[in-house]
Amino acid sequence: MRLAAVLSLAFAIAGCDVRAVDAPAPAPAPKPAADAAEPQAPPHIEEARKLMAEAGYPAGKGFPKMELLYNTNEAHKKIAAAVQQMWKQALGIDIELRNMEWKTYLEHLTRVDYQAARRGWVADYPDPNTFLDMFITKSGNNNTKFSHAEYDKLIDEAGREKDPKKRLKTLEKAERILMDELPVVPIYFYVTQCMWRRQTDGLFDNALNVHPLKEILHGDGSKPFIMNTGAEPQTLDPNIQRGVPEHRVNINLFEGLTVYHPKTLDAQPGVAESWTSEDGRTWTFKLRACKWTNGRAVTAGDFVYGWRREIDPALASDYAYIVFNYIKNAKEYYDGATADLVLKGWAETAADKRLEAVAELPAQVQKRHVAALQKALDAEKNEAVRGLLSKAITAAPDRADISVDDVGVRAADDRTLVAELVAPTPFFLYLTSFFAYFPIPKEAVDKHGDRWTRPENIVSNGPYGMKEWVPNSHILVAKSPSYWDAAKVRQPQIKFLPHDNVTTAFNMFRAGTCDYIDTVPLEFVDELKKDPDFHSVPYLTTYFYSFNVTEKPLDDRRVRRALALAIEREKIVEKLLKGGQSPAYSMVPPSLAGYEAQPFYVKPKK
Amino acid sequence: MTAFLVRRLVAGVLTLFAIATISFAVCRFAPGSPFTSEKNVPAEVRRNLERKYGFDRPLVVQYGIMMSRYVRGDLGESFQYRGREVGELVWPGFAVSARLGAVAFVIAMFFGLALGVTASKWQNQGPDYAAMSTATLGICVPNFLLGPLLVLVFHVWLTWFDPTGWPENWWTWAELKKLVLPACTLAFAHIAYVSRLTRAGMLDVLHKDFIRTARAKGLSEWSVFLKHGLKNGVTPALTYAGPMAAYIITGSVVVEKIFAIPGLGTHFVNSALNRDYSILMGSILIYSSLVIFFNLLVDLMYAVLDPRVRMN
Repeated sequence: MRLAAVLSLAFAIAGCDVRAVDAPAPAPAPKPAADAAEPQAPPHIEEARKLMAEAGYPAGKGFPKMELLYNTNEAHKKIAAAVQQMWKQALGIDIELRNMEWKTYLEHLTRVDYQAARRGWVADYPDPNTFLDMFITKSGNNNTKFSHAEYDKLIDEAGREKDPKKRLKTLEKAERILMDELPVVPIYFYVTQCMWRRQTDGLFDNALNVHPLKEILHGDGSKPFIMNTGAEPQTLDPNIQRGVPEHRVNINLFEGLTVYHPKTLDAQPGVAESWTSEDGRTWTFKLRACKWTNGRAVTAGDFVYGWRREIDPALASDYAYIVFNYIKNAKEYYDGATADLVLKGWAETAADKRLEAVAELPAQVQKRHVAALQKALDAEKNEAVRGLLSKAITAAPDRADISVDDVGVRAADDRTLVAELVAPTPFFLYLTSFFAYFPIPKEAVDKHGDRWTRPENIVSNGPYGMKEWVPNSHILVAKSPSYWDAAKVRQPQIKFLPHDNVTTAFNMFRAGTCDYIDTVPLEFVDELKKDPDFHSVPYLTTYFYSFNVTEKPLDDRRVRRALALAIEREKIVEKLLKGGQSPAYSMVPPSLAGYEAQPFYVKPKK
Repeated sequence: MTAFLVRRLVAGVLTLFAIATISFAVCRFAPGSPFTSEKNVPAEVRRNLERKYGFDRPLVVQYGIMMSRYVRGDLGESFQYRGREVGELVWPGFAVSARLGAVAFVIAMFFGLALGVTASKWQNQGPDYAAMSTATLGICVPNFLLGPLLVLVFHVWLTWFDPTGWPENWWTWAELKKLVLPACTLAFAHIAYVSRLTRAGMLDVLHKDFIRTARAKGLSEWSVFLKHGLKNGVTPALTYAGPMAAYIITGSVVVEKIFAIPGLGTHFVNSALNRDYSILMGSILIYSSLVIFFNLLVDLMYAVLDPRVRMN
């Protein structure tokens, strides 16, 4: 389960009470838009009705069949049912709800094989860009078929902008377009609902719900601090990990150039004691003297190795893009090396999979591939595959061969790391706190291969070292004596639990067999609000409905806006979710410093 | 006898082969893949992932590779837990489920027999009604309801037991008592079956001629009941033991979820949801081997008890 999956599971508010939503008033026949004299209808509903009439569906007449897709889950179901009712009451349309098991739902989403669908987006880093660049035409997370040249241009421009203020302004412009076009309709912003006890010192609320545990102390420290991570970690290899549970464990086992401030999440010196960048494009990090758990010094070379390994297509890391989108030549290297792999395995590739395998090839190939491409073309019968191969052959000679040595990260000496970026990236220091940018101990990987993170093999450089890992039972880590800042580490041991059942975890917290849980059963939220151990904090995640903008009736901007307007977000938040979530009128949460979120609608003040 | 055993073993292997084949087909035709997630990775990254795990090879080839691995006793590599072999995940899980199952088995047998015997001793009297109502309740209440109910009563109200967990050792009561609620949840339905079978068996025997003879000889009522009645009356319950063992081990899926027990059931459910085909197939194979094994055991038992079975 990946980051988002885990979070949507964790925050899937089990068992919220549908009866709390206003019982459907015996649906009054919706008034046609012309009847603007209707006194009760609030202005946003009036506007929605008018838009529907303009689009040719006055009072919902003639509105085509429409389906709203969500993944099977009580909370999604209740929200969808509420929205279904709101749309019926306000616009007179009948939509159907359709739920699907998680993976099936994802498949439909990815193929944009749906009309409207529920989605959620967790920020990868605290910056508006993470909520916006996903809707450019080429993005793998667009999933709406929304394509807007001006929008793409603005996102691209923002990515190159050096001045942070101007960059945010450009992003605001982009969000304006998104909220005018509404391929996605924001519904609410998440909160995290975690619990920890007063006797745990050094834990803070923060917007990403990440907790570096370096400086915590639980009670007098004689007992381990026990944290439920929500699932069994899929791996502890920083180059491969992808979800929240892994993240919770690994930010304590490993340390990047920078680390998250436990409260603000700002980048603090980690392995790097200082850094400089003239232009936001070339960064020089000065590393401190520090050691791996095996006693060897952490060097700039360990970072070079780790970053290169992250973008090795043979490793197939999910988060490779978080390196190759930013580091100079990394994408070119990744593409070229991928083409190497495709062509090397060409003979074994199934005939019916070849078309898929070559789909990206024309964009990936480099000079060195011409011969192999020609060989593949000569033996190929399928016309479509041949076409792509020839296209690749034409493209290849013009592209320089990029090897791993050309990737923009190098060790000037053992204690100096230089990173060259594609464009000035103001949030680069957030990325260097992220696991994809951790250093990796080459000797451990060479010796143990993909078993190098086993408890008996793992070599790490963070405040804690691995003691025990029993799959599906627990991970026990202990203060690492070789850590450079060991004097500040107060908590001798931490235990991570993998329980994914919200009620089970909550029971454990109450029984005292667990000291931190990152979600609570919704039926307890009201009662817990008075509990000082309960922490409800705004979280950088947007819950939204997504539209396939190429299909009737959702290809019409007016319909999308009408649907967006007719959702009574306050009702959903206050009567259904009840956990302190806030209604969302923009894609980007309004809490990001220096950025003015662009709502699609502003409620008139009473 | 040997021929019988060989025949059954061959049939068992063939059944496993069929199960593996069907499961493979079902897995691969189910929508979704182990590599999809809400945050889509770029297409080229996903392709690399699929390539790494051989998903770009023809299905027949993938099937062949998988089968040849199984023949060598290798369950393959997990898709979800990168760098972990299926074997090292499912076998410890199986060990946990088996131990939980063994405890549940003992509980079910002990209480089942006790209730059944009690009921037959006082047929159509208070103890009989009490025992049989309990049994009926056991059959009616599903374990996903019983588990939380037991937690409510024994953890929330009485605070006798922890709501979750798995013993870290097996020699202190503080650790061992973590087993009580899950094992009882798992055993309850089977207590019901065993007690009903015992009651029926006992009543059947107690009306036999030799019991009357024993009574006529002037043996004490308890001697007749325990020595002559019990010995023969519990046979039906004992023959149920084989299927029961299989039910208990394969039936712990829900109980493991409720009580956060790191058993095979947890792997089974999670791998199905995550499309981790290799772990899923591994758990299916272990489960089906168990069922086949226990069936074989029962057949052997019958064969030992009744020579007529051996002939066919």
